[in-house]
Amino acid sequence: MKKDIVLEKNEKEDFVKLSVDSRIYSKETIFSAGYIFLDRAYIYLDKDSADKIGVWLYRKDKKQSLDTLGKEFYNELLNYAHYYSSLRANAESVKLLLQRALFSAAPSMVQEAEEKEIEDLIKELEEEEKKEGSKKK
Amino acid sequence: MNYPFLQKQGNILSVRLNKELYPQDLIERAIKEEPAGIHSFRTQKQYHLVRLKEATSEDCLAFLNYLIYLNRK
Repeated sequence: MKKDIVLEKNEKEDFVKLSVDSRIYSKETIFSAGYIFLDRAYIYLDKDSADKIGVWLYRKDKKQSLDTLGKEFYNELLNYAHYYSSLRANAESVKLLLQRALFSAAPSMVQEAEEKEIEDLIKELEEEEKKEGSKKK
Repeated sequence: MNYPFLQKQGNILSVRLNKELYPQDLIERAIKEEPAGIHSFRTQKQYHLVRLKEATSEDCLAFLNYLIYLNRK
């Protein structure tokens, strides 16, 4: 089975490297996880292959375990991957809720929106009638 | 310590950054916001080569983190 993340520790060069599958974890997710680690590690990113992004973590505190650093970064990747997928999945619901909130704050907007909808429907009907009229001729 | 992404030419250290992961506009923003730290940058095939002014390897690592910070700002 292929792993979505491969963790490689290098005690001699003092870094831990994660090879992350970019089809599962977007660049956005990796940068967000990196942002959380700014005070704990120096972070370098490079492409390992077409679908893999290498994340090098150089610890700032030498007492920090490289293994723990790598595993905690992995957790942060999962956290942000979940956050962004939820954001995408809920985008339509959030939009509807915001619309409702706006309409309830300004009821005149509802009337305007309804009027606009009616105007659009009338236009559509008129265009259909025109098309049918030209076909009969 | 040996950092594979750093290159030394005389007294100047350069950082090698993948174009797909570190877009050009991000580096241009870094230059705009921290003009005192960056000497120049050029693009070669898949990489940007950013030359830092009077930098140590520690400064280069800090620059890498600055790019992560700037990307989220």
